[in-house]
Amino acid sequence: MDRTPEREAILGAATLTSVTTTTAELDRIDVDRARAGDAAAFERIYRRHSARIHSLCARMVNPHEADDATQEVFIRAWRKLELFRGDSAFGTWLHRLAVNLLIARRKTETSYQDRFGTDVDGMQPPGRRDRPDLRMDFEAAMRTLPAGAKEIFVLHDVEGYTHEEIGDMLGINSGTSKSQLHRARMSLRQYLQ
Amino acid sequence: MHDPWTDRLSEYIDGELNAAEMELLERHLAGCDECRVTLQQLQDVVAAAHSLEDREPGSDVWAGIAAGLAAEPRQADAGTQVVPLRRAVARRFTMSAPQLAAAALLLMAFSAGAAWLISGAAGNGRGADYQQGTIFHAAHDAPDDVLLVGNQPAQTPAPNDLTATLDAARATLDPATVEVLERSIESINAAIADAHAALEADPGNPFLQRQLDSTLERRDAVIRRAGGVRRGGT
Repeated sequence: MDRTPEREAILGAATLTSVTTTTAELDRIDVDRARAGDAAAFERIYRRHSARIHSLCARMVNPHEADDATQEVFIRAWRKLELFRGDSAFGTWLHRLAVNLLIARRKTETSYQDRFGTDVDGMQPPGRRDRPDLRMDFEAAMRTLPAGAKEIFVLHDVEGYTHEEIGDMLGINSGTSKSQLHRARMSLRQYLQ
Repeated sequence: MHDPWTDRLSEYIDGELNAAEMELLERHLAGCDECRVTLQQLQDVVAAAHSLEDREPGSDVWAGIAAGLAAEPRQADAGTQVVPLRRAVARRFTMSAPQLAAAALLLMAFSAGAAWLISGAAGNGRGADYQQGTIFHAAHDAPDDVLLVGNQPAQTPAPNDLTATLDAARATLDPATVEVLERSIESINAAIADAHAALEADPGNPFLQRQLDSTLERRDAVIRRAGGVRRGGT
């Protein structure tokens, strides 16, 4: 980056010793502006959160639907900005909005039996760890899980939600969430062998 | 034959067994090679999940979002009640000394943001890359953490009013920079007012006084640089 004399002067003269500007503070400013109709501010929000939301969509749905799902999430967020009151970080609010939308999207596409009834123990792993890009292979293995087990695995082991939270989001009890998670892990371990 | 303990291994990993169950399972693990192997495999799966990294979309997803936004433009006065965000600075300054310290830190961040944006106005355009120990060009280009480091005392007298300085600089600064600066000024002034109020409620508190003095010094540094950039900026 350019190091103009003005930049150097600012840095040198400032008596600041250590300052942190967080994403949350930038979001706070841009959310306020986006609420007033500033699409450029909303684009900055998108740029800050697109990787996390797009990755969530790719894992919860599938990669070829991830772009559409990501668009849907951000357009929904644009519509719902008035509902964000600042009680939590905007990123947290956006992530939860995305999870709820993705779950609703999946529910309209598959029945409960389709989501939770498949025998994950009988699935074949997509490959072994003889490829250099292990993480890509692990993501591919996750995609072979039934939709319900995949949702629970992503929400619990990747995103860090509790079984109680997952139960509330999916409309299942926490015991079902635990058993589905275990089955998903048992299936995925075959790939890592 | 299926080992029933296998079905409890995920709960064991997640710490969801009670003490008695955990003791029984660990006793079982001590004598069951198969369960130990399975446990390690499951732990590997969990570790793999935790290590997944987020990736940017491969295509330009924003174009589709922008089209969606254009289809339903927002209007601030379109009948919807805009809920203003809570102002973190003011909220923190009205309470305890530790909270005041946290607010002081936030003030530093605002000051840094102002300096950084001012520096952007003096720079050569958008899109500057981040380098550790340097400053950023524009808010939307910044990563989570921005570190500003400086150690030289200011050389010029401080103006009394940052607003006046900004007014004088308004003609030469980017409108977006001015807007962010105005927001920062509002927050800084509110925070300082709250700090004075806290001192009135607890006069002579050395901690509060130090925090206020430190905040004022930092604000003055930004004031001086704002004036300098206005005069010397491009």
